[in-house]
Amino acid sequence: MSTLNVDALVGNTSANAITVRGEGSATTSLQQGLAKAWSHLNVNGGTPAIRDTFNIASISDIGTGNTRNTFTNAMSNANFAAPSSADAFNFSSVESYATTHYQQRVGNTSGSSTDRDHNVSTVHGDLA
Amino acid sequence: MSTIKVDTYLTRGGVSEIAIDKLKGASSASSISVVGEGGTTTTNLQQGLAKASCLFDQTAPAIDASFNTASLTDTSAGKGIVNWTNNMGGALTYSCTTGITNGNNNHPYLNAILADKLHVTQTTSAFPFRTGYAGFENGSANNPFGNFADNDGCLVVAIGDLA
Repeated sequence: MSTLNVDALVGNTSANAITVRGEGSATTSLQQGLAKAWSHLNVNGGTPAIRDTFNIASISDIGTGNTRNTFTNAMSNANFAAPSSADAFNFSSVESYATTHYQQRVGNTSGSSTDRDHNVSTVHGDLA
Repeated sequence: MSTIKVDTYLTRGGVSEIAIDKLKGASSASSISVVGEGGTTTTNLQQGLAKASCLFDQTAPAIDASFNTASLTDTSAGKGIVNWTNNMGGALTYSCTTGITNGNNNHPYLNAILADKLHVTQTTSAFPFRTGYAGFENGSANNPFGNFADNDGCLVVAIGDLA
């Protein structure tokens, strides 16, 4: 097996574009395939706490069931995708998309916002 | 095994292509940076990769497609466990986004798959989940209504640190 030991990958033709052959014969983009941030929070009790994150500089409590994740390195536009979920029978959505942050809102089956133990979200899109 | 260590790799012309089976950090084996779409800011290769995924039909139950998933455990109606092949680095420091592509009933309910960490211990090798539905039905005396149920099209994607 060949192994390349390297600390950084930079595109040759374009620094921000590296192609990787997929599982079949088609190729995909290394940069576009990487999640640019993710967040796993404990919001139980109303004060959000970080369990673990990537590219998240800080979190803040916007209100019951609503938490803001602020990026360390910003996105290039606010049109990124951010799938999210929460534990037990509670439903999650992302709102307030911005290049510097996004907000995750969690609600219960009765339609009320709620603070949960495990709020999870990932970010896919273009880094600035 | 051959090892090549360079600071800068340049081709003599044309599109550069490296045929390689494995990427490993030189300074730190588990960390490689990648220049992002903006051309300047870097992101981390390892942190950006999904560590496991599983698309499954809990009504069978059966795995439709997966990556780094060893098996699926059916606990009871609407409850189960996805078991990883290679373990995660911490029991609660990895996380999963979840989704449903198909429901299992004809009612206008919202179907969902969710983490079940509060009731079943999540470990580095196992992700417990619940599936079910909730919502309203026109004319029903049971509104709002919901229950555990085995759903088709359940999706789990794990992010975080591998062991």
